[in-house]
Amino acid sequence: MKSESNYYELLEVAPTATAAEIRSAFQKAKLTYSNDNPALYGLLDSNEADDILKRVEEAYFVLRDNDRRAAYDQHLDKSKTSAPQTQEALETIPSANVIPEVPVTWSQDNPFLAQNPAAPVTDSMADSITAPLAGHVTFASTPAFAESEGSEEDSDDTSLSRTRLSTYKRDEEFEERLAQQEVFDGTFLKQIREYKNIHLTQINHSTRVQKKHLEAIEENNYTALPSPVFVRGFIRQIAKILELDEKKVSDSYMKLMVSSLSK
Amino acid sequence: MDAAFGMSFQQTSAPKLWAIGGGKGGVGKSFVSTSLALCAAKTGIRVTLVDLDLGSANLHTYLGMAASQLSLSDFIKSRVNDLKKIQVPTSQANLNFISGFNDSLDVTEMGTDNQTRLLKALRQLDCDLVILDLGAGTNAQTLDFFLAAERKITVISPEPTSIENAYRFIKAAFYRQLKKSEQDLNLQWLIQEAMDHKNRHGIRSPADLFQHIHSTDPAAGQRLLTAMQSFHLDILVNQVRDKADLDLGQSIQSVCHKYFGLKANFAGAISHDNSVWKSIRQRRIFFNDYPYSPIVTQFLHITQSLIVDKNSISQRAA
Repeated sequence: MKSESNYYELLEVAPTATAAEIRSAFQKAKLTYSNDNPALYGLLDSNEADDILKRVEEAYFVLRDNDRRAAYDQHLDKSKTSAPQTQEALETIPSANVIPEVPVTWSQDNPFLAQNPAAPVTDSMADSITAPLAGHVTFASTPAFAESEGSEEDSDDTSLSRTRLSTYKRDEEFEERLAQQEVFDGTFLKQIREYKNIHLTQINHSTRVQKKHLEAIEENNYTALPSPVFVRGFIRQIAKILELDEKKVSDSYMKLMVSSLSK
Repeated sequence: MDAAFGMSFQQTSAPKLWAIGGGKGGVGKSFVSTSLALCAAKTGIRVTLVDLDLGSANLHTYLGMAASQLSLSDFIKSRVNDLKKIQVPTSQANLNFISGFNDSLDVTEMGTDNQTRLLKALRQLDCDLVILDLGAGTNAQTLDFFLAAERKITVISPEPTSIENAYRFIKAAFYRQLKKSEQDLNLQWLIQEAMDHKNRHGIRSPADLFQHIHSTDPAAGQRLLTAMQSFHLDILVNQVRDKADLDLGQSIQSVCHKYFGLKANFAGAISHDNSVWKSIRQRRIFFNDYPYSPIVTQFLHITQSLIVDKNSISQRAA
């Protein structure tokens, strides 16, 4: 897909766009690249749409905050004078005065998105990002230079794994258990979610399943859930985010739910 | 109707072409073609509407007319050498009509020479704007007429089948244009190399291809991009029923931009209205029977927005 030369192009707004215009463009892009949008039918598959969505979320995360946007604009101005704004240029041109010596990369290692994969996503952080990004975003509070260095090192760390929404430390023992597990109740789904460093709010934003329903699922509080036909859909969406076998997980959960409700 | 808008022009060059395509039958291409022609004519622009849906030419019905005695068949078979003899006036001032084939000749049988001859003759018509109503499908002739036009208007209805076929049509047209551009610019080897190793280069879409060529040879990449910029799509969503359908146009615009790496324009949306088929059934002009329908206003807005771009209509000085 087209890797636009900068975040403004990605969101299809002018560099002079107001905060409201950026928010509106982000909402439109979210709508456009959601998997169920008929506009994708026949042209983009779900992975390609997810990929665009991730970049859109990344762009919005930077541009929605005045400080981050100012730093990014400064970086763009600088790169404009030295070379065309291709993706390659952005990847190789040192950022403006934010990070004088570290190569600027487009995504995970972008200085505007400096991440610390080891840290959990907090409630307030997840809530503050309408569309959550991978890992714990610490750009605003941590010296970008140190974070970026950390990110580069982390990206080479083979013990780290990624989901669409997070980065987490791989635990072979838990992975083994996961592979052999046949019963997926709410408690175990919660364990997997926490292991994969994904906050409930992220699932809520990504699936639009209400938070109260997500909580009820994890608490095995079946009476607080809507009819099974909806719950099956919720479970499949959750399993997809957790990168589990959707059918296996939903069949297991629904069996438990139906059995409990029929008592 | 803002007649002054069109009247302020005076022809100084050949008419421009607007092609209405879309891949799938039944999405309303003919209704859209007729409506744009009527609106443009109402604003004082001299329009010729051409039925190029050669397999099933029936545009005359939308104009409330009987089938013409002479048609494009006569031109292609050289029974008539001047399109002016084929075109007929309509009940709408400033609007002439050229009927499609009324015999068994199909568009695919037209041949390249006749196609070139027809395009040349269309450019010589004494009018400001020629609107081509293309048939469904992606045969080479239909694509060539689409690509020859200054405005490439794709009509989509909000059904998955229509969207899928529209993308298939756009892709086919895009690759045909790319093929032509790579030959004109002598870039075949560069594109061939890229496509031979597309998986290794991570090329999954035309946008990726542009990016790869740009990174391999920036000057060639720029030339190709400039050549391909004539592939500027206008997207019109027809038979819109709700807000989600309305949003579809902007989504398709964005998806096309990201996939093809070229700008697309969401020209506008037209509401679903049962009165349309009623007027077609009665073989009457919808705009005359339902002048207060929201559709009329929507078409007027769209037509004016398409005319505003001076490159899309013959350049006329005040």
